[in-house]
This record gives sequence, structure tokens and C-alpha cells, in this order.
Amino acid sequence: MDSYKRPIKLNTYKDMENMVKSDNYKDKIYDIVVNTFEVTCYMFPLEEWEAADEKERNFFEKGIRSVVGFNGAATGKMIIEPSSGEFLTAMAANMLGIEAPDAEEKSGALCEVANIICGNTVPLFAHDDQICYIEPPSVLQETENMDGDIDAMKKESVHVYLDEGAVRITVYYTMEEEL
Amino acid sequence: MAINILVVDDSAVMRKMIIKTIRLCGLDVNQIYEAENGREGLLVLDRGEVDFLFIDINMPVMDGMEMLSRVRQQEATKKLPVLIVSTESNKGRIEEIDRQGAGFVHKPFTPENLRKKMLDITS
Repeated sequence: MDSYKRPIKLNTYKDMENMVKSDNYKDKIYDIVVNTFEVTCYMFPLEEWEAADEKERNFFEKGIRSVVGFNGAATGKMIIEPSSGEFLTAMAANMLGIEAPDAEEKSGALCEVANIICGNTVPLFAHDDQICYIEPPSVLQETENMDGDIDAMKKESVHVYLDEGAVRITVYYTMEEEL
Repeated sequence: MAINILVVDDSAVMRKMIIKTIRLCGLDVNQIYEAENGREGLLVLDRGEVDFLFIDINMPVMDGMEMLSRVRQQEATKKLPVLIVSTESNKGRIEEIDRQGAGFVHKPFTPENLRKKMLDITS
């Protein structure tokens, strides 16, 4: 048996404002994001009182995002947005074990985190035993808009506040039976 | 004896992360080779210098499942220790990986987890 246990803190903040819970997906996505950042980037979620202070600042800057498409048992796109360039730099530095990642390493790190989060999230919509295909992640510059029709899709959005910044994950999806 | 490792993944960042993690595992490692897809990986394997293989599943040109299948069909590599590193959660695919005699590490992974899987396979 695998001896590793996820070090997810129990008293962390979940930003549920303006969101309606649907089948508890948000809680599951939140756990996936926290676990990915803890294990991959060595970044940990803030305690509830700390996150409340951060939320007051509403500090998301415009910057690069990463988008991952998926299709098969569920179809849609997942977008990951780091709160700032500094946060993205810290992410890449921690992932790669280097002090000053270049632009390519930063975008690559963001895409890899997007890939891991999407790969773990999509089975929630695809019901684990069905196959869903994950497309390679791509980078969207701050002035770019997403391709494709996402307006008609369901949407789940989660904010996670971490010790070095925050991240917003938005998933647009349609399940196979709805197509 | 120090081993040579090949890491096959289309993401340069993930290759670096796997290599960094291998270095942290405390194993006796000599050379670590890299390839961006299954076809490139098979070309590296043809040189006959690789003792342990890491493969991603979702890659362009040739994906990890096809590469694994070809590795197992070749006499020189049919018993090569292989670890698949992926976010895959489909039971059918994971069973197929097991049938092909390869180990599986789910992303995200810890150094401890990777080391344990490597030792499980090599032992």
C-alpha cells in the first residue's frame, strides 16, 4: 500500500461566493488544486483568516493563463489563472528547483500544473471508468480570448489562496449524455 | 551499479521535474537521457544503454501506450523496467499498463512515492 498521505489542511478557506454547488464538484476540484500545488510546487493553502484578508485585496492581475481542452465522456475546457507574475515565478522556481526561471519555463510550469489539475478533474465529469482525452495545454496571453463556444456549457470556478499568491481555476464542461 | 535512465515526456518541465526527483531519490544514477515522444524514445533505446524507462501517456507523434507496447515486443527491451507517469485514472488503461509489466505513478507524485515505485520495479 502506498504510504504517502495527502497533506491537505482541514481548516482552509474555500471561496464559494457567487457559486452554486453542483454535485460537490467544487469541493473536489478545490482538493485536487490544493494537492497539486502542495506536492508539485511546495505551496500550501492559507488558513481561513489569512485567506479572508487576501480576498479583500482582490489582487488578480491580468497575465498569462493556461487552457486545457478535453473531450470524450465529457467535453470542455479548463483555465488556470495565477494571481500575478510573481506568483507564477515562484511556482516555476519551486517546481524546477531553480531561482530564476525564464519565460519559457514559467509558461511550461503553468501548463504542466494545468495538465495535472485537468487530468485529475475531468474524471469527475467523465465518471471514472469512461475514457476522456486531455489535449495538450496551451498558453493564452492576457489580450487573447478563448476559442470555442463555452457559453452553453456548465461552469465550475474555484479560487485557492496559497502562501505566495492565489490561483483561479475555471472548468467549462458538458457531459456526454447531455450532448 | 549505477543505472542509465530515459525519461520520455512531451513536457520539458515535467522531464526536469522527474529528473530532479530522481536525483533526490538517492539512487545510484549514471546518465539520464530525455525524449519528447515515443518515437524519439525508441531511437534512444536502440542504442542499448538504458536500464530504466519513464514514459508519459499523452504525447504527440507516438503516445506512451504505443511505445510501451513496442518496448515489450522487442527482444532487447521486453524485460526493461518501465514506470508510466501520468494523470491517467481510467481503470482499463491502468490494467493494460499492469498487463504489460510496467509500474504506474499517478501525477502529482512525491519523491518518496517515485522512489518506492522505482525500487518496487527494480527489485
